[in-house]
Amino acid sequence: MSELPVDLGLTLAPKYTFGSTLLRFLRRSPLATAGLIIVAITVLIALFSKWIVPYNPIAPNLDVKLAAPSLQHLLGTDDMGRDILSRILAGTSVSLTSAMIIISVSMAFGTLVGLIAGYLGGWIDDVLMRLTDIFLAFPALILAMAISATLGPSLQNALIAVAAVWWPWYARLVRGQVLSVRNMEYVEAAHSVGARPMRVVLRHILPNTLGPLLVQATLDVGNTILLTASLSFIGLGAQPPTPEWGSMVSVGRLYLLSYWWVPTMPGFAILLTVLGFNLLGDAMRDFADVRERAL
Amino acid sequence: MFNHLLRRIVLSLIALVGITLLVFILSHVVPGDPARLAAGPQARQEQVESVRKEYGLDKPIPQQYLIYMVNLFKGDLGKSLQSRRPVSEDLVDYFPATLELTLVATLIAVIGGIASGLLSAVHKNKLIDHVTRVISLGGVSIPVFWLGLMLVLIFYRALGWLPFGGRLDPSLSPPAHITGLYILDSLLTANWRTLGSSIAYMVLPAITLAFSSLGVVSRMTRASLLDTLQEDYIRTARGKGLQERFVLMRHALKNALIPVITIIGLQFGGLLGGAFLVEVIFSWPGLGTYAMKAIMFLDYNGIIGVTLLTGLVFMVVNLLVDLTYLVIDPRIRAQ
Repeated sequence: MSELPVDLGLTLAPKYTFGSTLLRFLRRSPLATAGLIIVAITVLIALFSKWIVPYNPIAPNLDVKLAAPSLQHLLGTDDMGRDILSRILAGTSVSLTSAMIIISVSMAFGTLVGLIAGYLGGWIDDVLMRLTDIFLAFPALILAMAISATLGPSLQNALIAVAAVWWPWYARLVRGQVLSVRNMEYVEAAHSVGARPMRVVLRHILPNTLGPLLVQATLDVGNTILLTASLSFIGLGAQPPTPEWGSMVSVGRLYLLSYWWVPTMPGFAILLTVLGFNLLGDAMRDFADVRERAL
Repeated sequence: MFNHLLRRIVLSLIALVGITLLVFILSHVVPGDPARLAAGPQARQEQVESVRKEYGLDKPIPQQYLIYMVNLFKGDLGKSLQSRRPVSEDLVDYFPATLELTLVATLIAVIGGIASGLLSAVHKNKLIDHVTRVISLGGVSIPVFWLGLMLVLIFYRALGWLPFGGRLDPSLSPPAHITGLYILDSLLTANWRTLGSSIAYMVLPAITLAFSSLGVVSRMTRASLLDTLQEDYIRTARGKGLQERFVLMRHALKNALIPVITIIGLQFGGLLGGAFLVEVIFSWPGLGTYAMKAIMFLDYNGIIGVTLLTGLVFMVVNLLVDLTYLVIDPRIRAQ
């Protein structure tokens, strides 16, 4: 029997899919929508910055150095005469790519550690959790600074340093999730039908940790952008002439009192981007809570 | 509870040792020759070698670490390559400035955060609630170093209301050294001129540093208070005719503060880290300033010293937070 021969005249009840629920949620929360719009614009700029920058973001042009904002240079120029707007636009992809690299590396490593610790338990769990304690016992910026200072100042080393202080949070989060589902009946069922541990972890446990991980990752985009920019600000991250927002503020700081736009504009770009991701992340967390409450 | 505290202390000590190992390994596998840097670019090879010997950099790395750890237990953090003094002495000199800044910022964040969170919760969904929430979200999104620059631009450059750069007016000499905290020392020695000046110089850096934590504390207070206000005992308190103000302060706020205190402990770490950035902007002669110099000179002993000290302070603060639970929550005391 492939199809019912008669039309029963039934229509499907409106289906509440993930997407439609999310859409309704966004409509009710203007702040979340604002966040989504900011994030969308930021991502578009990052993707197409090469084609939309009005001037070369790296080549100096000393004829127009430290020019105030004008119609030619909407956000003014810096000490090398480079158009600040162009550098901010070009810097978008630097910041977003950095955040993505940090989060994927620390998420992958943290998830692995968390899965192993939570699933195996016992002394392995103890050892791994003490290891995360070591990293969490220190203020994130200071530990990242120490690591990045010892590796030497470069954007790549700054990313390694930030990922090194970030993964323990994911390890903790995933371990907690694993512990909460490890003894559920469906995991027991999978074991009892003879599924191998690897399969149980990958097919039954891991998917249940993804929701909170995704929310955390969104909230972390803002945090990692701030941390990376802070490292660049103290001279440990991206080096000039790379158009990185933190290092632009750092160089511009010298001109603060006479040429305010030089450090002000790139800092404002950081604020706006981080705010966008935080608004979106907050909304996603509330949304996840709502779903949990509904279940 | 006592066992819990003991366990926390032991674990924290393990973490401290772990971090020395981590930073030590990192600092010794990287390229760059600290002996050459310390001897200066013009130094001849023999001079470089003698510096290397003087600082024990010629020994195998495991041995260097062992020596370092043995000395650490004696309170000796090694010699700084940049100041050529014992790191422990440097830290004693630079730490009070950072401590004072961080303490004042914590005070601002806690008082401001709890007050605005309370206001927000009481006037839920009113204008003041929205304003407070947007400001607190801005607080966690704003780069602390940029906020500092903007405050300097507005309150120093444009309005001329507040000074910036250092801890005290350059024409004044620091108060007699008692604690190293200028505000406290000025008070203790009844030196009103330095008191006024040190407070004025403190305002901008402390507000810069406090801003993001203030937002976090405010959000936490609001959320926790809104939860608490749903509780049955609040209804009971209102039902028996207590004044709303009394219900709020004595019944709701006290219970709502427990998660807030946890957050304050965690925020302290952020404040310590943020202090490093704020110090750079305001030429504040604290650990951050010292760390910047250590980084430039590849001064490993200095870097490890600063990292260890901040870790230790962070650890002590979190232990204190655990103790605070004992004071405010009888349920934990009973365990």
